[in-house]
Order: sequence, then structure tokens, then C-alpha cells
Amino acid sequence: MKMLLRNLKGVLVLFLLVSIALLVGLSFQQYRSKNELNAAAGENKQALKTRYALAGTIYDADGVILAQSKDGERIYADDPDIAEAVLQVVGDYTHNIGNTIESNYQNILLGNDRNLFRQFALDLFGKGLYGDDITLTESGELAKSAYHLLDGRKGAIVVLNYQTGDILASVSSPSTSPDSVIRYQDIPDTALFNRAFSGSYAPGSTFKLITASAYLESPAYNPDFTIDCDGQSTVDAYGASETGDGHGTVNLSDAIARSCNVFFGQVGVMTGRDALTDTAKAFGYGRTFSVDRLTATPGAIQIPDNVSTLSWVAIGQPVADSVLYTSPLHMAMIAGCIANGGVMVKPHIVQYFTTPAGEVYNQRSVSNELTALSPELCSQLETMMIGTTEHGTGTSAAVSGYTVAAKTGTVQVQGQKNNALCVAYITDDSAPYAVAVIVEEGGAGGETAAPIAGKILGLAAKRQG
Amino acid sequence: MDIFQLSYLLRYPLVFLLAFFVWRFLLLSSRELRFTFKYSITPSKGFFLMSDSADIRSEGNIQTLPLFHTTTIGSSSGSDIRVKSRLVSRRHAIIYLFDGVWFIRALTPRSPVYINNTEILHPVPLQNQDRIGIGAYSFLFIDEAASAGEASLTYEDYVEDPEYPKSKAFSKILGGYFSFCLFYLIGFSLLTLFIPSENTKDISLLLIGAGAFFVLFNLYFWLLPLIFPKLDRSIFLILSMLSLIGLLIQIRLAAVGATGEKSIFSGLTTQFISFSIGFILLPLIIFLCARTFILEHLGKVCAVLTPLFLLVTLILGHGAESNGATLWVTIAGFSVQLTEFAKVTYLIVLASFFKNRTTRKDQFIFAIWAAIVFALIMLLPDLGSAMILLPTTLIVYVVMTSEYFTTLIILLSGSAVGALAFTIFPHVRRRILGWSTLWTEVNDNNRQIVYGLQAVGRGGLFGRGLGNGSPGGIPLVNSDMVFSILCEELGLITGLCIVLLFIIVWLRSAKIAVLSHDGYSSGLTLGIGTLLFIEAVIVISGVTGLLPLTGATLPLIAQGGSSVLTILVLFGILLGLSARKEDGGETL
Repeated sequence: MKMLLRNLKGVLVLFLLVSIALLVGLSFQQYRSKNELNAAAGENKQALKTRYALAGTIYDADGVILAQSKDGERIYADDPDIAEAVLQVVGDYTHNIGNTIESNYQNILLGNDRNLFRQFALDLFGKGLYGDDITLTESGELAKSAYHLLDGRKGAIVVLNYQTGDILASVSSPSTSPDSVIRYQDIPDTALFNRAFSGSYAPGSTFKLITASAYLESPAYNPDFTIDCDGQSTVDAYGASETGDGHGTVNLSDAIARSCNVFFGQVGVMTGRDALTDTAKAFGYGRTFSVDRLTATPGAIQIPDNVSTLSWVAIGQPVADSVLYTSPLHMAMIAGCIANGGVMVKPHIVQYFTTPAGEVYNQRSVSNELTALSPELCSQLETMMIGTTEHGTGTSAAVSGYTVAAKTGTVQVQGQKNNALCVAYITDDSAPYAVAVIVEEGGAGGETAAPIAGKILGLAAKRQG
Repeated sequence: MDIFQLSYLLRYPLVFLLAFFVWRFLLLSSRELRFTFKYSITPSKGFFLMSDSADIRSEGNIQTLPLFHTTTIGSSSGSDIRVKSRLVSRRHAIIYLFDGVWFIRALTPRSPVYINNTEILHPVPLQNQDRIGIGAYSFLFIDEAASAGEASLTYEDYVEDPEYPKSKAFSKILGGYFSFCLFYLIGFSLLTLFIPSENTKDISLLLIGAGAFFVLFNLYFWLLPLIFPKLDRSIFLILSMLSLIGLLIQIRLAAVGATGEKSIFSGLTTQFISFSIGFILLPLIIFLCARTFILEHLGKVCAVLTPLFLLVTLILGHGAESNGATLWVTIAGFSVQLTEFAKVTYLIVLASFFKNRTTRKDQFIFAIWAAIVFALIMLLPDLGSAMILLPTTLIVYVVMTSEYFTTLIILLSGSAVGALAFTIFPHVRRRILGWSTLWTEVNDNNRQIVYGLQAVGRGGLFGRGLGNGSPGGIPLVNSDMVFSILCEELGLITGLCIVLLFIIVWLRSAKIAVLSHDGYSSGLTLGIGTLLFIEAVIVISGVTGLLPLTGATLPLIAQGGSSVLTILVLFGILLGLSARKEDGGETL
């Protein structure tokens, strides 16, 4: 009997330890799964419909509903064009598209992120079961216009406020209706891919802005430096050249306005590989930008030790084994950075959250992402960029009533037509908007992308007014 | 306010009621067990040894030596009656009660025991005034009732068992009772609202069923203790609470999202039948266990039945191949899992083998028998049962026999068998691989756990409210994974409460084991409590990714006919043994 008691006590201790371990383990697993198991790849798709049945609403900057839950269904924007235009940003409740508001803000939309007190307070109002609403910085109408401007061509447009970092429109074409994404049927090729955030494009001549910055900062800088451009490279036989008879005698200002490859190829070599790479990195190449909880694919730059290759990279056209690409979002941010006196602000897509009780929280704040350039150099660059819209390659990017600075780009891509690019911004403080436009296989940047950039900037400015 | 909103708000009372219920019984059970350990090394009433030697150390160091249901005599400190002499072995002899009769036998071949100066070779029943010779000492076995009879007197109990103050216990039990009733009321009221209003038949069926169960529950709660004064009401309440939670979640899974075309209860028929049979049989089982020694006589029958059940399943079994086991047998149109019933018979055999300090020979016989049983289990293969029965066996074995060294060896060989299972059974390997990749990727091997955990994570502390969960897409959500949906709808607190309910059952079974007047009851109660606890631990840690999943199901909460019935029978036996009286056999 003594032994029985002793043994029982031993088992009691063992079982109590097991119980405590289980209780702790259970709480830990609960905590961990709440925070770690929401990966879009491994989700219980069948359960998502039930979970989103009472999820919060997603509003755009103008108060238009982009997604809402009604009678157990998740419904997207009433206007089918808006729904398509914002598809890759807003996403879908089945999370067939990753890196979206619907997927990355699941906890907010479903109301899972509240602390006990907040939750209890909401429960008292009978609203606890509903998720929080999210208001975006994006404007559905502007996105729709941008989407129409792309007109079914593959490409992307990003419009942002360079003073606050608010993304007004981020459009990726082709797109499709949320309905077909949810059914996962009838989806055009690459329609689920967010080109604006995740696309990797060679920047083309828009990169000359960075080459110019590097040159302005480098000891090799000479304000009187000119080149006599006949279309042939001055670096070596294989350096950056162009089609046609050339631009004649050009200085830095002319070279930006008319996008002279020969000039920038020479300037790139004069500035040097390291200085160019450093400046590109100072502008955020290689950096992963997070747009609130969304992320953009980082750009990359790599220049081998070869003068002719360097001259090509300097004009934004990677050749041979050099690497140069970035996302449209980043291109718009670079333009915005120059516009904002060299300070790049953190991009935002979410303005604020609203609880079911109407309480607004987590208002977005303006903060700096990085400082790339001094304000003096920026204003020099700006003057040259204004030349582009006044008498250069990007005259069609001009917006009446505003001064627009721009840089166009045309990128040769192996095996297909040239990509058309244009970055531009309005210099006026009353409409501080920057834009990046990319039209795949769109031909010359000045002819295809620049008009789109001008129209979008005009619309954005009008929306403001 | 719609039904989901209502359910969402009602999660607060539901969770608080459950937590209150668990808290009351946790407090009561731990206090009672401590009290029992402290005061109630219950000596048997009316039987004792008398010693004529003054230097024998025993409890209280008196001339009258108390007898327990298992009393060991020897020179070691673990002996109940300690005799310090060179002629006495460390573990010399054992006196034990079985089937109402006291037996004595030697513990080792080198420790001779004499009864009335004759050496005994086998267990011998003791008579009043028998003189027991051990070494140079001698004891007199006294049966007070017999002594009184010889003197033409009537013997009456004069000592009550020390017992935890009844009024203190009852106030806690009453608290538990009321929280249970309220939980019942809220839970079933909510459920009726979930059933599509077209299904008027289902609604009336649910109301009638809920009413009938409530009447039955109250009848048992108030009347059974009048018939069996020592019946453990707490165990009955916990049994009822677990059944209630199980029924609520099962009916909810069937009702929410039902279209109203057919009866929502069509998938729950076996569940309802099992609960009905189990609850109706409960008093009978309690009566048989409390008032008769029928269980003691079932040992040999069960020793045959256990392998037979397994063998029949092995030959006739069918079922979903994907789960790696074919455990269903169709008998008279019913699909039953005989392996579940084998658990009951196994525990009975286990208890009857280790009712007292078993001889090496008997241990060896048991080992062979158990080896056959486990071989059959692994052939099925029913890994879940093996994972539950093996630790249960080990714990009953070590508690009843104190064979620490052998236990260690069994433990090591058990691990070896586990490693072997890993290499032999592909589905075991799959499960372990799935478990180890839980946080890195979702694959076919761990999908159900990951989805289950997502549900658990979503529930938070209080859950989303009954009916607001998202069971869609979780494989086997009715049976294996029911715990995760329970956590999603009623919160982590409910999950923790379920764990605590099972440890409370064990605490109570330990208390009954200590208070039992024979080793057989001790062994069986301990076996039942341990089995339930281990099953719960293995299942819960399996579905939450703490251990690899084994395919066992949560007692009473998961869907299942045979398993529900088995668990109800086990609880019935536990209740019956708690109500056992020392002179139980004679009042019949």
C-alpha cells in the first residue's frame, strides 16, 4: 500500500507535468498559428469563403467600395472596369493572387488582430464579429483611366504623390475580373501578376537620370563638357550607340532632353563603374521596398569590368552579362525622389483602418525612405527634365497649366518589340504627382508612354483640383 | 441581430460557464486527492494482524497491525509491515484481498511463509485466528466478524473511512451542476436556431432529444447517489459535460450550412444511438460493478475476448484504406469498431493480472499475452490504440508492482518498436514527415493539421461563437480534427478546459484507486483514468502539431459510435468502482 501510494504520487507528478506541458504547448501553438500560418500558399481555400463572409470593406481614396462582404458573399467593385484596374492590388478572398490587400491584411479585414479589450468593447456594440475596414490611398477612378490608357497592352502604370508617398494608382495590364480569379478560370496570361510592384524591367533611358546624378556628383563633372554625336560610340567600337545620324553637338542638358545615348555612354565611362553603381544603390536599387504590408520586388544593378558594357548600362540598356532592372513602382519613386529634392518618401497604399464601430486608427504617416541627392543637384536635373517636355523626346507628356519634368525610355528586348517607358512628374507643389509608365512592346517611349504619362498626370492634377 | 451575432455574444457565457465548471472540479479534485493521500491509507475494517513481538515497526508502532487491500511484509522500507530481521527478506510476503477473501503468499521462493506451522507454496485463503509465521516472528490473523460470531455477538463497523468534508464537496459539485445546466440550456437553444427552419421535424427531434437527455441526466444525478451513496458525482458531471460538448459540436457541424433537403441528423444516427445506449446502460453497469464481483470473474473471458476482437477485425475488417487502417467490422448491419471494445476487455485483463504484487511467472504469462495482443494491433495496424494502450499498461504495471527496472526495459523496447513502426509502416513515416515540416510547407501529409491550426489560431481566446467557425476543407473535421474546430468556435480557453477535464478524471480515478479496498479495483480505476487521459493528450497534441498524429479520436467529443459507447462503458465502470463498498459482495 505504501508503495502504491508512492507510485501513484510519482505518476501524479508525471501527469501534472504532461498536462502543464500540453497546456503551454497548446497556447503556444495557438499563438504561433495565429501569426505564422496565414501564408497564402498553404491556406485552406474552402474555409476562406466562410471566413471572409463578415470581413471588412476596402474603400478607395474617394470612398468607392473596392471590396465588401454582403449576405455571406465577398463582392468586388461595382464598376467592372475599376474592379479589373485594381485587381492586383486589392486581390481576391481566395488568395489566388498573393501580395495583395486581401491576403496581407487578412487579419485586419477579418478582425483577428484586435486585443481583448478592443474586441470586448466592439462586442458590447454587437459589432465584434465584423472585420475592420481599410481605406486605400489608391483612387479607383484614376486606376480605371490608367487601365484604359494601357488599352489591353501589357504594361504597368504607377502614380504617386511624391510628398506623402501615397500611391494614387497602381495598374497592371492585362487584368481580369475578380470573379474569374476566384473561379480560377478564363484568366488571361499573366493577369494575376502585379507588374507595377513585381515586374522587373530594364529602365532604359530613364536610367540616364541616375547616370546624370552620378556624373554631377563625380570629380569628372565638367559643366562645359560636350560631345559631337554622330550616332557612333565614342567609347569604343562596341559602346553605346544609336540609330540615325546622331544629335550633333550636345551638352548634358541637351542629352537629357533628346536622350542622347552616345553622350551618356561616354559620361558613364567617365564617371566610372563604382560611382554609377553607388548612385544607383543610393536611389534604392537592390533595396526591397515595402508598401505598408505589401512588398515590391527589388531592383538590381551589376556592371562587369568592361568599358563598352558600362557605357550600355549607363544608358539603361543592360547588355552581355550586366544586370539592370527594377519595378515600375521604383521608377516612379525615383522620379518622385528628384521632384522631392532628393528625398524619397516611403510609399503607402493604405491610408487608415476603421473599426466596425467607426473608430479610425493606424493613420498612415509620412516618413523618409532614403535621401539620394542634394536639393541643388535635383533642381539642376529638374531643369534638364523639363527640357524633355518642352523641346525633347517627351513633349507629349506635358500637362497644360503645369510644368512637367519627364524622361522617356525605349528598351530593346531580345526577341520582341521595344518596351516604351516614361517617368514624369508635375513640379508644382499644388499637384505633387509622379508617374511611371511602361508599355511592353509599345515601341518608342516618347511616342507611346509619354502621352499616357501626360494624360494620367493631367487626370491626377484635375482630381486634386 | 442575426443568429451568428447572437452566437458570437453567447460565446462569453458558454466559455465562462465551462471555465467555472472546470475550476470548481479542479479545486475539489486536487483537494480531495491531497486529503486522501494524507489521511486515507485506508486500513480494511474488521480485519487486522496481531503481533506478539514488540520490535516490529509499523504504522503507529502498535501491537495491532492494520491490513490494506495489498499489504506487504518485509524488511525494506517500502513494506507496509516492516520486520527487521536477518531471517526476513526485503520483500517477504503479501497479504491481499480479492473477491472478498483474504489471501497470503510468499513473494520470493527464498522467503518461506508458515500458516499454523505449515509452509505454504501457493496463495492460501486466511481464516480467523490463523497463525502466520515469518522468520522468527508470528502474527495472528483476526477477522472480527468471525470472532464476534464465535462469541455469539454481532460485529458492527465502528470506524468510518476518513472522508473529505461532504458539505464542502457538495457545494462545489452543486456549482458545477448549475453551470452544466446553464451550458446545456444555452447550447441547445442556440442549436435549434441553427437548423434550417424548413426542417421542422429536425427541430422537434432535437428539442425532444435534448429534453429527454436532460431529464435522464437529472434523474441520474439526484437519484443514483441515493442508491449508491459513495457514487462519485463529479465523474458523472464531467462525463455529462464532455458528452454535451461532443453533441453540441457534432450537431452544429451537421446543422450549419445544411440545405434543408434532408434530415440533418442522418449522419449522426450512430452517434445518437451510442449515447442513448450508453446512458441507459449506465445504471446497470454501475450496479454490476458496485454491487457484484462480476468484473473479477471476467478476467479470463476478457483474456480470450481481446485477441478475438482483434483477430475478427483483422480478418473481416474493412474501411478507408487511406487512413492506413481497416478497423470496421459489419455485424448485423451495424458497422462497429471491435478494436474500441477491445480496450475495455484489455483493461480488465490488465487489472486482473496486476491486482496484487504478481509473481514473476504471472508477469511472464501477461507479457506473452500482451505481446500477442500488440502484435495483432500492429498487424491491423491500429497505431492509435497501440499508442494509448502501451503507456496505460506501463503505468498500471509500475504503480501496481513497483517493478521499476522492468518498466525501464519495457520503455526502451517500446521505443524500439516505435522506431520499427516508423520503418515498416509508410503511413507512419508520412505522418512524422508531415509533422516535421509543419511550419515550413503545406503538403498532403500535414494539410489537416495546418488547416486545423489555422482554425485554432483564428479562434483566439474566446472563439468565434458556435456556428461561426470555418470547418470547410479540414479533412476529417467530424472525428480526428474536431478539437481544432472546437477551439475555433469556443476558443483556446475551451481547449485548455478539455485538457483539464481529462486530468480531473485522472485525479478522481487516482482517489478512487487509493480508497479502493482491493487491488483489482485500484488497478482497474487507475487503468481507466490513465487510458482516458493518455488518449486525450495524444489526440490533442496530435491535432495541434505538438506530436505526430496517430489517428485516435478525442473521447466523447469526436464522432464515432463504437468509441463513444466504449468510453461510456469505461466511465460506467469507473463510477461503479467509486460506489463500491467494502462488503459490496455480501449485500447482494
